[in-house]
Amino acid sequence: MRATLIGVQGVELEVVLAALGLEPISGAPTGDWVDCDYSCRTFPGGWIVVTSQLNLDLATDLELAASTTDQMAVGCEMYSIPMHSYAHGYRNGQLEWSVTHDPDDEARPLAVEGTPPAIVAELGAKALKAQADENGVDFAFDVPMQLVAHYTGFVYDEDEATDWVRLRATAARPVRPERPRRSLWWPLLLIGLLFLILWRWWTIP
Amino acid sequence: MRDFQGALRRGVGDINGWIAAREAELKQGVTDLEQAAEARRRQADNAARALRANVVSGVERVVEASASRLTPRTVSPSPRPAANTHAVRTRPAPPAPPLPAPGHKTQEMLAHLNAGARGAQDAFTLGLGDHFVAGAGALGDAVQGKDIAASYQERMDRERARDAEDSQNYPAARATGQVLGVGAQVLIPGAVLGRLGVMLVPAAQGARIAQAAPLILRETAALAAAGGAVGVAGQAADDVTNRKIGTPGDYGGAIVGGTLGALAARRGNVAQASAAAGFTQSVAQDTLNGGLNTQSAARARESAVAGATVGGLVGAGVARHIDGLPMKAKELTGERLSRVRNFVRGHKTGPTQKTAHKLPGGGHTLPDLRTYKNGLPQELIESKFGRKARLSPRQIQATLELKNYRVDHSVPRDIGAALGLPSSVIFPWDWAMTQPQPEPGATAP
Repeated sequence: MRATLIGVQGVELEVVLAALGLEPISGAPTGDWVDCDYSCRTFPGGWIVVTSQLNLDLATDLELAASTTDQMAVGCEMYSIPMHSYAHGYRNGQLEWSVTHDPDDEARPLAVEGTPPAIVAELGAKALKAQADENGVDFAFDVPMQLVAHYTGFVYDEDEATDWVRLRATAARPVRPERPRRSLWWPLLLIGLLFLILWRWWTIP
Repeated sequence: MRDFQGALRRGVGDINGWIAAREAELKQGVTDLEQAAEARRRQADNAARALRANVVSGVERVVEASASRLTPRTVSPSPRPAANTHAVRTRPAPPAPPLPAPGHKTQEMLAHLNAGARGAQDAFTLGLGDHFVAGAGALGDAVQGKDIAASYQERMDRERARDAEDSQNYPAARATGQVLGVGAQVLIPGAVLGRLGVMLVPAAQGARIAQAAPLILRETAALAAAGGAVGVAGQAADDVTNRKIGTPGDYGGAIVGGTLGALAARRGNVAQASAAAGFTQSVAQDTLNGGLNTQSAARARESAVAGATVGGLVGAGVARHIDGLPMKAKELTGERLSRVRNFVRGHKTGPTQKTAHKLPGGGHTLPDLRTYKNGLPQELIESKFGRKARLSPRQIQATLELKNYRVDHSVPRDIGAALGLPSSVIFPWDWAMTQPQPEPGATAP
């Protein structure tokens, strides 16, 4: 599954939602965090967590959310099918660190950039040690989500709260359609095959 | 000499007596020499007759044994008239047995096997085996003082003559051996080259995780059917491009080749699978169109090489492209492949929206898909896509605690195989083939 989690500290819920172009669905019952396209909930320590399975984009939406606070904003995005995950940390609206787990990069299972807190090294070392002990299990995949959990208190695969507020996009939410990278590979292959067949057709006496 | 000087002193009468005595001695010596020479000549004649008799009987035995082993009883023209003629001229031929000897069938079978083995060796070594055998023999001859070039030429002529003899007397056995030789040629170097290719193309690597669900019978059958359909499509494309209508044997062979190629592609090496498909299709088509013929082995080899080249290049290119896709695209690809798999299994897949599933041991998992059959929930699907994709600790927990938790793992080379194999089957690579295609209904000579 794909999921994006954004946590913002020290700011009102309405401000964060307005920045992200979201609003509560009036009259909708609360539920768990995967019951709706967008959900939000407040956590102890003044943290607000907004989640989405499909439509939040960490790179742009976390920056928008971080701009609303002069404290911490953290977020992560995970793709559980290729097992790719990454997390960013902002302070005062500025990107402070990022941690990326790319399964194809065996040399660096956890790529850390910026000035991360000490917890990053601690979680990373623990995961890599477990991974070395138990071959075939991807412990490093969870590290970015564990970082978000460390700050916000939201553990995505343990959370049992059912008071998540269901949200929907407002007209103000910028549309960011999923546009996969265009590739000329397929058209070229098809054109090539077609050309070869036609050429064969016409050259046979 | 002293007797002669004494006779001179004694007078003329003594001289004449001395000369007469010497003449008598000389005549006796000549007679003795003539008798000795005659005795030697008789001894030599006797020895020559005995040697000739021994050699002739030995040659006759060898010729008879070879003729009974090599000459099929069903083939009327004798390939070795000269040897038999010689045997008849020098010594009366032994009377033919009224019934086949007890080991006759075994000898005939051995002769077929030998012809097949020689055909396999020739095909496997691309004809270099004869050169090797002749060269090794010529080296042995050179050690014994013979001329190496002349010996090599003589032995090569002998190998060629034997191959020609096999082609004439045992065409089916030799053709079958050649086809098997090509099969081994495809198999053995293909295994090495296939691994080398995988080493050179990282996108073609990646082992499925141990927890991945294997294909069930229904999926295997669907895969085989898809391969057969691709074979039919390939033959149809060939017919269209060549403006002809293929025989039932052509289509039957194409189905066999496509099916085997698809099943072989399960192992993930599309070049090897395409080679197997090309080889099998060619052999099956020749067999169904009347039997293997003299071009079968060469055609099978070319089909295998062409299939491996086209399938390998397309498969590697596709795998490389897929491997380089962004993570979002890989996420979608993996999920779509799982949906296809559910469809083949006869299950319906739930909506895209994920829901959490509580685990008995604590925590919960978020499966990528849920399947339904007759409205009833069936399985929770965890999809994986990528060369290095593994399960997370929570997903490992789910595999241990949930009975209906299935892990699908696809790798880029799967898509490479799915496109590479059809390309190799459909692609009209027969332009590059040097061996003539069989005419419909062609039979083995």
